Amino acid sequence: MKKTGSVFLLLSILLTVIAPAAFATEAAVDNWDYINDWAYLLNEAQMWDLELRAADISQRYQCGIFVFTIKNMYDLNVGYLYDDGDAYVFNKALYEGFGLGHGGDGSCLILCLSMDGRDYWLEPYGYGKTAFNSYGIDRMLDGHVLPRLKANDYYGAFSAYLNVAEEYLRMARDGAPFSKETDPVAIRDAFRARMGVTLLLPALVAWIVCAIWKRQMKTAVLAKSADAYVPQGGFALTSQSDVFLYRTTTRVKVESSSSSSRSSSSSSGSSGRGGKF
Amino acid sequence: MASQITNYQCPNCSGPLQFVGESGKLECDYCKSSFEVAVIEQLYADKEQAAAAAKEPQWDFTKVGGSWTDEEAAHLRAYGCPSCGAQLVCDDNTAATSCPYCGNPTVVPSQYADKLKPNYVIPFKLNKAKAEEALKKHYHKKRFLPKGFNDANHIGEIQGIYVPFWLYDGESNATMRYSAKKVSSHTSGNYKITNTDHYRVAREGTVAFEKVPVDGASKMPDAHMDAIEPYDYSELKPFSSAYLPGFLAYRYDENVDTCSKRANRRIIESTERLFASTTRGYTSVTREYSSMELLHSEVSYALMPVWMLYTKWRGKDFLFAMNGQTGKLIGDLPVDKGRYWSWFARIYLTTAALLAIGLFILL
Repeated sequence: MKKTGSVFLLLSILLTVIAPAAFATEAAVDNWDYINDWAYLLNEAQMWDLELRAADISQRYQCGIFVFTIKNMYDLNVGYLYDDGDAYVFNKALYEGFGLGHGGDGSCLILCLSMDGRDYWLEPYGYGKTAFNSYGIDRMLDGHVLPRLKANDYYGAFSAYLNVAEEYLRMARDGAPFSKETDPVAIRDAFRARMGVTLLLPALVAWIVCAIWKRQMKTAVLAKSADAYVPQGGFALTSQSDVFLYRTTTRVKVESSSSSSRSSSSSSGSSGRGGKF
Repeated sequence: MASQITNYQCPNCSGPLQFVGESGKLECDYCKSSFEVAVIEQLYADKEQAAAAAKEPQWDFTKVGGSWTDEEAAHLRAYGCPSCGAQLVCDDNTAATSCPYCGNPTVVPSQYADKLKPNYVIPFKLNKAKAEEALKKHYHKKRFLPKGFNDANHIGEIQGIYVPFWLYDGESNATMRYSAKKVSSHTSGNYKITNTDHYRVAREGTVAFEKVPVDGASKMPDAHMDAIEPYDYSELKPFSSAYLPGFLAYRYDENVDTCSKRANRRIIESTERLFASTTRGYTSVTREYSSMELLHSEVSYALMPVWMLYTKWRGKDFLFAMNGQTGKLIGDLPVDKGRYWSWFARIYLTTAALLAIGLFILL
C-alpha cells in the first residue's frame, strides 16, 4: 500500500514538474523522447544519435525502447519516501503513470538510471516481455550494458542497449525470441563444454583402464605388510582414548546476489532486473 | 666335502621312487608301487643304521678335476649317483636334485649337516603339467602382451624347488598417538559457519603374527617369493627328506637375522595399519607419535614348494614362480607399446563416441 501510494505521489509530481506535455494523452508515447537524459550524461550529438536510432527501432518493431536518467529522486521532491530503489520506482511510475509503450498492450522496454545511488532498473512491458525475457535481460545487462556503465561509458552503454534490443526484437519477430536455446553465445559455450567433455573424459577413462591392465603385467612385487599372518583375535587394544581438546569456528559471509542486484518477476515469466552499477 | 647321498628306491623292484603331491606318497615309476612316506623313512633309517655298522668307505671327490678356482670349489659339491654311479655336481646349497644321466631323484641329506635342519616342509601338491598350464593361463587376457610372445616364447626350463623359508612368530606391542579433526558446517543467516573439533587420540595394544614367511635363499628373487604367498600352513608337515625326491631343494644361505629385517618391516606396516583402522569417524587423522616393540617369540625353518619357470623371448629372460601348493603363479610380462596405444585409442574412441551420442544427439 505504501509503495502504491508513493507511486501515485511520484506520478503527480512528475506530471506537474517534469513532463507537462505528456499529461493526459492517449498517444503518450508520441509525446516522449526515447532517450531522456535528465542527469546530463550525454552530449547533444550523442543524445540525438541515440534518439534517432531508438525511434527507428521502436517504430519498426512497435515496441518502445526507452532510456531515462535522473540524478536522484530528491530532484523530484519525493526522495524522502524511499531509502533505495530509486530506479525501480521511477521505472514503474513512468510506465504505469504515462502509459509508455506501443500498441494496446503498451509494449516497451524501459531502462532507468538514478545516478547519485548509481541504481539501475530495466523492465519490459507488454509484448516486450516476450522479446526480453529474464535470460535475455541478464545477457543484455551483464554482457553489454553494465560493464560500460561501470566504466562511465554512458553513450557506449546506451548504444549497446539499443543494438541488443533491436537484435532481440528481430529474433522475436522471426518467431524465436532470444533465450538460452537461441542465444548463439550460449549455444557456442554449450558446444565447447560438450566437446571438452567428449574429448577429455574418454582420455581419462582410457588412461585408467590401461593403467589397470598394465598393472596386471607386473605381478612380481615385494610384500609390504603381513596382514595375512595375523590370527583371528590376534589384534587387541589394551587402552584407547579419544579426548576432545578444543573447537575452532570460522564464519564466512555468504554473498547473496540480492545485495548487488534484485529482480522482479511476473506470471508471464518475463522479469525486470536492477541493482547498482 | 660331504658325499653321503640318497635316492629312494622301490623295495619291490629297486626302481627310483618319486614323491607325488597328488597322492602324498612315494611312487615307483616302473612297478607302480606306492608307499607311505613314513614306511620308506623307516626302511631307510634301518638301512642307514646297517650301513653305519658296516662302516662302508666313503667317496672323496675333492681331488677330482683341478681346474676350479678355490672360490668356485668352495661352492661346489660333487656326489656319486647311487643308481648309475655317475658324478653329480651341484652348488653347496642344493640339497636335492636329479641325476642328469639316469634321471633318478637324489637327496643329499649331508647338505643339512652343517646347517639347521628344516622344522617343516609343505610337500608339492601340484605337478609340472599344472605349472605349464598355469603359465598359459597367466598369458590369457593380457591385452598388452606382445604378439607372438605366447607362441614364440618357449619354456626353457621348469624346476620344482623346495625353497628355504624362515617363519617368524611374534608380537608387536605398540603405542600410537594421533591428532584428529571433526569438521562440520552450517549456514546461519548470511554466514557459513564451520566448526572444527580437535581431538587427541591414543591407542595401545598388541598384534600377534604367526609364521610371517621370508625366503632364506639368495638365489630366489624376493619379489617372486613374496608374491606367491600365502601358503596354507595347515598342511605343514615335520621335515622329512622323503618329500624331496624329484625336486630341487635349496638350503638357506641368508641367516635368520638378515631375513628378520624384511619380516619386521611387514609387521610394522601391518601394525600401523591395524591401529589406524581404529580411528575412524574423524574427518582427518594424523599420526603424531608411534612406539613399537617387536617380540619374536619363535622362528622356524621350513621348505616351501615352488615351481620356477624360465622363458626367453627376443633375447630377454622372463622368470615366473608358482606356489607349488596353491597354484598361484606370478611373473612380470613385457608390455607392447603398440598394443598399449592401440587399446588406449580403442577405449578413447568408443567412450568418445558414446559420449558424443549422449551429449550431442540425445540431449
